[in-house]
Order: sequence, then structure tokens, then C-alpha cells
Amino acid sequence: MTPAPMTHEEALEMAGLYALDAVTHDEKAAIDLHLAGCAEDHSEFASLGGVAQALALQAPPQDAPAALKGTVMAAYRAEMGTAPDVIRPAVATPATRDSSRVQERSVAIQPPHARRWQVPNWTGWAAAAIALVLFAVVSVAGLNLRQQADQANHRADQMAQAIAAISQPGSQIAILQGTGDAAGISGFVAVPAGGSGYMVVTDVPAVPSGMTLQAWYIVDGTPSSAGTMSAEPDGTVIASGLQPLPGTDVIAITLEPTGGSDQPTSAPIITGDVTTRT
Amino acid sequence: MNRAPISRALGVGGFANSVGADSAMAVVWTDEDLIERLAGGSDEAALSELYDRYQAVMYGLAMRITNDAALAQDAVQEAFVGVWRNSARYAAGRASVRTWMLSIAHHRAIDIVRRRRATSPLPEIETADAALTTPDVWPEVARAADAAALRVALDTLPDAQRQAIELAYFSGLTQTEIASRAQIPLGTVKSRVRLGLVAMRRVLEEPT
Repeated sequence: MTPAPMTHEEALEMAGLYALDAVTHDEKAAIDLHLAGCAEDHSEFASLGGVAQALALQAPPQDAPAALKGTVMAAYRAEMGTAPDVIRPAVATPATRDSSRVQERSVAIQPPHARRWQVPNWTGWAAAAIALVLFAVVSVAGLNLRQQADQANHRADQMAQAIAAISQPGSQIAILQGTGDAAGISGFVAVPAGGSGYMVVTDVPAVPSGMTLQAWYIVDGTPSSAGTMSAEPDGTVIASGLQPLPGTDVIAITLEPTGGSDQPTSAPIITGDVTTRT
Repeated sequence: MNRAPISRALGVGGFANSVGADSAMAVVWTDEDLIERLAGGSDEAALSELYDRYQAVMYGLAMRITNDAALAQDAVQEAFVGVWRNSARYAAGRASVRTWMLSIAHHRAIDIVRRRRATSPLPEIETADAALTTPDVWPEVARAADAAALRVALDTLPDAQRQAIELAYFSGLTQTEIASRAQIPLGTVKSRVRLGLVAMRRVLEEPT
């Protein structure tokens, strides 16, 4: 509804109340309409508006609860579309929908088993390095979940087992780190005593055509093939069934011609020293 | 070659950034820079910095108005929604960022207490925020004033004028509600508020 016209004098009388937000919706609409269409001097609105805002100084600053910032930032991320993937349950069809019963809710997807995964209680850089790799894999799993739920679940199961291997006393552990141009690559190997192990590597760049990744067990400087492997499109490698040779002290990965090589033909792009978990 | 201001040349970053190995100078983003970054798109760092700078004054104001911690938090959260949604409409020169953000917090807090009373709700945020950027509504008075000066200005007012102003600004009462509470005509409410603010401005503008 269009507000009733207001004379210039009537508008000026309301200037103070307008400045203090002490007007109703209709009153405000009428004033705004007048301000938009009247050519006379309305500087008093400016004048009193400034005084009104100075009144905020009368309220002593007070820190908001710390959690409020998280709430504000989460709301911002949600609106900006940078929040974690969210899936909304399908809304009932109009024929069956009962609006009084439908409660919309949002369910944030979490990678399978993410909640129960516990980074081993280690201290030092090894634990930190493994935690970073786990984080990367978990994040990737979350992104893939919508389209590739089965694959993500499989990956999550493998990760759970790899973590179990890390945690067992007597396991052989290697923190893998890329070198040279591949410095961004990181990962780990975990082989439980008496069992097969896992290798997890993240951020592996695309392999040149005609080439493949090949892992090596190195015993006293002598490499033996641990097999070839390929990275998933997101740059993650999760290999299972590792059986290092006795005395393996280094695990390395090289780029080899498709099909693999009997001996490395290039320098390692990823290496890690093997230690035994106590 | 034109060089962008250093605060912009650094792109997305925090409140203070190391400029380089040969300089220990820290870059301080101005409030206006942060608003501009928000207006330019998703920029959590900018919002985070604005929050850190102004959460205390906004929450303090909201607490004074709502007298309720939960409602005050709602007001501050809604105010920040208003800040980022209207950042592109913020006009530097019409008001400081501080004044602008406090005006939004005030509006949200007043809206909340009115909704609680179920009387005279304020307009929805789109309409309200248009008013917040009305040209020339924001002179330098609020920017220059301090709490002590404000107290002096308020103390110079007759009780009736001061009470009318405080009922409007801090209690969120409309002119009709103030008239009802004080048992005075509407015209008297208008004149008390108007004359009171004019007197306050005169005091605040006096050289110290």
C-alpha cells in the first residue's frame, strides 16, 4: 500500500524519531517517499542522524561469547557456498506433503568412518605428517562422496585399516616425502608385523603418458620392485598388500615406463626411511 | 606503471601481512578496504577481521538494547549478515564503517525487541538497509564523539527529552509507544526528541 503523502513540515517533525529508528514501517515508508520527492532542505535528517548514532557510545563494549564468531563465519560460508557439501532430504511431492509435519534439515556429509578415525597418539613430526595425509584423503573422500559413494566408502575402509596398521606396536612405518619437482607429494607406509601393509600418497601430479609409478623396497642400497601403481584422478594413491623384504630401510617411488622396470631407470621422486613402531 | 595500493596488491590476506624479507612493515587493512573486499566476493578473512574489530561494540550495544545475551547474539549475527549482504552498498564518506555497522546492529537489536513485543516490527532488511545508506544521513558527529562527550551532551538535556531519546534508541519504542508510556501527546514526543537531538548536537560540536 502506498503511504499517505507527507508535507515537508510533517516530515521535519519526524526527523528525530526517524534518526532513532522510532518509527513504524508505515511511518518510515512515508518519510522515505517524501525525502525522495521533495526538493526542499532536509539537512536536519543528516544532522540528527549523526547525533543518534553517537548514542551507541553509551553502551559499553562487551565481548560476545567466543562461539558467536564461529556461528557468524559458518553462516557466511553457507551463504557464500563455501560450506562443506550438504545434502537435503527430498521434499515430499505436493500430493503427499504435509507442511505441518515436514521439517527441513540439513545433513552435512562426513567421510565414512571419519568420526571414528583417530590419529595415532604419537608425538613429533611423524604424527603431524600422517595427520596431514589423512586430512587430505578425508577431504577428497568427502568431495567424491556424492558421485562416487561406493568408491569413497572403499577408500574409507582402506584408510581405517591403514590407520590400524600405524597404531600397532612392531609395525614398520615410513613417512614419505616428495623431492625436487615432486616436493608437494606426501604420504606414509604402514606394515603391521606379520601382515600386509598399506601405502597412502596424496597430491601426486598426473603421470606423463607412457609412464607409471613404481615403488621399490631398498635393502642396503639395493632396490627391489614393490610393484607399479597409479594415482586416482584426485592424485591419491592407496595401495594395499605391501610385503616389504626383510631389512628394508628405505621405500622409494620412481617414474618408470608403462609396465614397470626391473631396476629403477630414474631418480626417486618420493622416499621414506623405514622405522619400527615401538 | 601503475601500482596498486599495497593493501590491495597483496590480494587475499589477513589483517597484517608480512610485506617481504626486506621490510618489517605490517600492512593494516583499513575498515573500508575490508568492506570493499567483502563486496568483491567471498572473503572470510575480511569478515573475520571486521568481526574481531567490532564484535565488542556491536554486542555491547545489542546487550544494552535487548538486555538478554541470547537475543544480543542473535542481533549481532543478523547484523553481520546485513554487513556482508550490503557491503557493496556501503558508501565511504557518508559514514565511517564503525558507524555504519553500529547502525545495522542497532536496527537489528531494535527489530528483535519489537518482534518480542509483537508490536511495530521494523521493515525487512532490504528496505531498512536502503535507509541506512540514505545520502547525507551520516555526518561526522558520531565519528568524532566519545563516550564522555556524549554523557555531557545527554546531561545537558531536560529529563523529559533525555528519557524520550533513550526510550526510542535503547528500548526500541515507537513514538506512539513513548506517548503511551509517558502519557503525553504524539506531538510532544516528536518535539522532545527533535529538540533533544538538536541540543545534543550543539554540545557535541562545541570545541573542547
